[in-house]
Amino acid sequence: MVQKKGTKTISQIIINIIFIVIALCCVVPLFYILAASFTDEMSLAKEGYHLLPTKFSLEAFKYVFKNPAQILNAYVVTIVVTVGGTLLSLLCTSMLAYVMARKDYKFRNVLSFLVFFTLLFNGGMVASYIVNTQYYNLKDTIFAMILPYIIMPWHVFLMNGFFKDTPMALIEAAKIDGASEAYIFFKIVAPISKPAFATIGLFTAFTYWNDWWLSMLYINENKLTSLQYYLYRIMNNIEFLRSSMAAGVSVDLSQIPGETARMALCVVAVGPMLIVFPFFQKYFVKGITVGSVKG
Amino acid sequence: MRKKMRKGFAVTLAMVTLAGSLTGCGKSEEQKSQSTGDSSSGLEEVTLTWYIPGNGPQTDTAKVEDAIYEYLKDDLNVRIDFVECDWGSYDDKVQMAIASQEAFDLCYTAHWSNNFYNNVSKNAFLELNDLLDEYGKDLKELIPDEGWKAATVNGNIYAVPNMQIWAYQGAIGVENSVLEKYNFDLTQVKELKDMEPLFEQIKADNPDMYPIVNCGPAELLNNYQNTLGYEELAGSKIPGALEYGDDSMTVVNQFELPQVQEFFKMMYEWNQKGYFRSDSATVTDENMDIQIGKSVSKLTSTYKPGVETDTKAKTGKDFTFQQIGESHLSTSSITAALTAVSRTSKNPERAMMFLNKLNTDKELYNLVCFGIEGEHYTKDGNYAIPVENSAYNPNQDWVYGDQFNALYREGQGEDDWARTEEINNSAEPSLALGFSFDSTPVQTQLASVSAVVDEYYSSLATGMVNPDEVLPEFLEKLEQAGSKDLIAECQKQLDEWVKENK
Amino acid sequence: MRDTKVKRMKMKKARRKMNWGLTVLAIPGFAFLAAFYYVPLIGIVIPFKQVDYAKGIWGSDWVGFKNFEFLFKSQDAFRITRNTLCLNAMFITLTLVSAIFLAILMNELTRKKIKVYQTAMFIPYFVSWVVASYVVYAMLSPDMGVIPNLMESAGKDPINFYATPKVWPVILTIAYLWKNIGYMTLLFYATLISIDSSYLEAAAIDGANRRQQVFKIMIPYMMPTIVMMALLQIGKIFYSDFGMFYFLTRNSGALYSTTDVIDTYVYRALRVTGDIGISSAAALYQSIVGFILVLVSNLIVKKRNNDYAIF
Repeated sequence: MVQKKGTKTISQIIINIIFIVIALCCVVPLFYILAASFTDEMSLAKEGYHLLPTKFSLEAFKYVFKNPAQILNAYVVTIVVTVGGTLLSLLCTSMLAYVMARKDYKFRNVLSFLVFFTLLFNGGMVASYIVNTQYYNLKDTIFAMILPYIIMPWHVFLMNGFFKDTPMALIEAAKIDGASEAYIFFKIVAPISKPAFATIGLFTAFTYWNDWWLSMLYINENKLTSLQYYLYRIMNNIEFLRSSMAAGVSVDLSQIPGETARMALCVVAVGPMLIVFPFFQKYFVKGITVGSVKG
Repeated sequence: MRKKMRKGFAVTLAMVTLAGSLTGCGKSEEQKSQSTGDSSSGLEEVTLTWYIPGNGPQTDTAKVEDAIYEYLKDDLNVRIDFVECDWGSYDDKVQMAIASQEAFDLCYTAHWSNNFYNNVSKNAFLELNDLLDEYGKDLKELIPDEGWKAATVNGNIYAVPNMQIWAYQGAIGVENSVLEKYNFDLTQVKELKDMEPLFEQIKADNPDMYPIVNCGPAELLNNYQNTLGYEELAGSKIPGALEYGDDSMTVVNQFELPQVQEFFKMMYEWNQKGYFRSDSATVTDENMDIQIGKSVSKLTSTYKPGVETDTKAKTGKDFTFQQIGESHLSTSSITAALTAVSRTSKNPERAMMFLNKLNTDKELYNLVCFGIEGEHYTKDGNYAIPVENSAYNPNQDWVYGDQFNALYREGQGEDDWARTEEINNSAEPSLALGFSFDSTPVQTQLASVSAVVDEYYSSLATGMVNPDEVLPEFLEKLEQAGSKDLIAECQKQLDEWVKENK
Repeated sequence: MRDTKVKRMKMKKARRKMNWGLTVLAIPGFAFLAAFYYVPLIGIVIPFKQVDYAKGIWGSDWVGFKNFEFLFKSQDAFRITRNTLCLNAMFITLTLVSAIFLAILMNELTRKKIKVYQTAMFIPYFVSWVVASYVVYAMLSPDMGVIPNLMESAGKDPINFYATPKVWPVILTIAYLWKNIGYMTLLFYATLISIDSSYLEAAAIDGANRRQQVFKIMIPYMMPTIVMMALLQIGKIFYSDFGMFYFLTRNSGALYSTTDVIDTYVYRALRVTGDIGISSAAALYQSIVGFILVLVSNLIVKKRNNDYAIF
């Protein structure tokens, strides 16, 4: 059956419309948050949420950035954790996943099971806390925010899926040439698996970026407070902050933002990653294309 | 290729060292505290770790810790290490510390945060009786008997009560401008229902307004139970209550009390009339609507001198408060703020010595509450004025200890502490003052019952549902979940307590 | 006896020799796995203890299955189990089906346009549930929300969503799809584009229409990925994303009849009883059920096609 050109363009248009609608549904709700963060507090309370600020105001952001040194420091901590954690995690995860994917490896099934087991079973929060603080002494160190996420079983499985497609012939050929396993992995397998690294790297980076749980549990020092935890704290304590700000300083209290400040915090938390993401996506899609050529 | 590999290693190494340098700061401090020096008092230097809720770490906490050490060096030779958490995560953090048996010394505890009773029943805190007699004589004398009674469980004292407002005294606050506009005489208000004429007028003039706040900590029933004449024994909103003045000491289900059922009906009516937000159950910020002028009144359960200043600070509005009902002293009104010594403490004697000093030495107490004079605040008579953008201003004296030792904040009256003490002293002590319920034998029931309460309570208390239909359903589900067992256990323990204490 | 054993082992070794080079590669990852997943497994004893801090967790008295009682004795046991299972099953099937569908559609488009769509669809995936809860609140808040405002201007009575339990399964599903669809679609799309285009061309020449291409080539090709995703999610069917159920519903009691799941229920129980034994018991129960479910489904998959099984 030969398809006519006409029907093809029509179906193209329909598909495009479907995706445009879905894409809009995904993004538009976030614009309400963005708009709210730039809205005057009173106006938001009276008019509700709109796609454009009903009354433009920068108060919420001024308020959030009142203590710029602290936010800056939090950004630095989060960036160090994200970059360091992602690199280390990628290295360990990919090596483990690769070994699991090698059909000629003796303990392949055992290893898969051991990884899979952890996906379902864990000792619980309390046991983890005891182990991390008392045996590994991670409390109040930057490692507390990095090490627990180095191996995420789910990511190991995803990568394992990617590596399964590596042609065995390639590996055997290299072996005959006398290459070591490490050489094969880093010089032959890794370069052709760029999309896998890009994908998992991105997920790992976002896990680190979005995490506040580890820093809430293990970090008590201001110097090591991560961005998300800092925001979480302000978010939770906005009321408290209002009262402590009022003490001593005479300000017009009705001007201190509440709801809009929360929205501004969301923007500050998510914003940078969303700006970075499209650039990353470029490489991401390119990587996937490489993958398809390989197949 | 080998070269490349080495490069990779170098990068990893550099990363690790970088991370190491970042954690370095923490380490050096530790070393500092280890360098022990004997003080002139002959005591060896020790560090006491103290878990405190609040607004998270203050910028200058380390400086204040140093100042405290300097102040105590020749005497107790104690260094304090504050672990400052924020209210949102305090429970999680301190519970983790307790569960993992981390060695720490002091922590804030209460019936509503870092649950005092749960901790006591799981043996997380030290018995303080002997320590108090030996190292805390001044402290023991300072705090009235009612305070010690409230902190006693099974005959042992498990915490030091922080002196502050202890009495439950309901009070309704209304914005001054509204009172003037409608020429409303607040002093004539004897119960909450008396507010209805005012609310009706406000609502008629501004249909968009919600005259009273009924959400979060300002939830009406929760703040009105003292005025309705009962106290909760088994836990907040958990069936098991005692009516004030009931000599027979009968534990009842508070949701079956006629006055509570009446109250639910009134809430339903008020919700229908729009006297408060219809979605109050999901709103947590009690001050928001007052701040933006949508609401003009609120109810408080603990009236105290200076509450107007407090309200002004939180909302920017001028309020007048009218006390309604009588004031009472109960176990839970006192256990709102306590300091306990952890069972894992390595230096419980020193911890007690420190508590003793903190509660009796004004200079030390104000150092903890306000920071270093001249750097974090300036002193003006009995008033502490924080410097602008102060790097140490926790603003919560009552969390640390005897608030009556504190300097006043702007807006407070010269005799506010004396007046507060006066209220405490004149309040009627409850018959069950000192009784505390141990829920361990009925834990399964408690978990089920509280799940039912979580599901129904808010809807009823914010009038979202018609109590005529839902209340019977609520009571029935409570019973199925085991509220009877809970109340019976509570009664049993109360009877025993009465036998021992009368 | 021993001799035959040794012989058998030797034979096995001959078949699959120990590869030290590979083992070394796996060591760092495995070390982290052991340190952060296997060592904390000692915590598995906590559910069987009556925690007493004076004796320490490990020294506390054994109480058998007492800590599990509250889960099964509770009148809510059925409800929370039903909510957890039904909602999760709905999430899994809907996301899988729509992601496969979208991936196949996406495959029809030119790469350039795909990039724009993917970026847009991916963004919600990176938004945390806390932020997502604000998005939902902005949509549904009775006072200020977009939807109630629209209803009002359309002359209808706005509903208070946070007090209407029956709409929440839908809201939760939409929110789940909103957050995850981009990610899942991309995953399947990545598999699809790795199909050798000569297959499809050959099929087209043989006269296979679009539908046949989809069902005979594309879906079978995606099958291993589909099975893996399904298996992994089935293992988690007894868990629920706590952040989602807690923050999105604003923990509104009025909604519990349709939104209360095991995790939120246990969380609240922990708040009042403060007993880590109880919460650990629930977690263990969830793990075991999930584990059995996965073992069974994996076995079924293995019987039908060994290549698709996880282990």
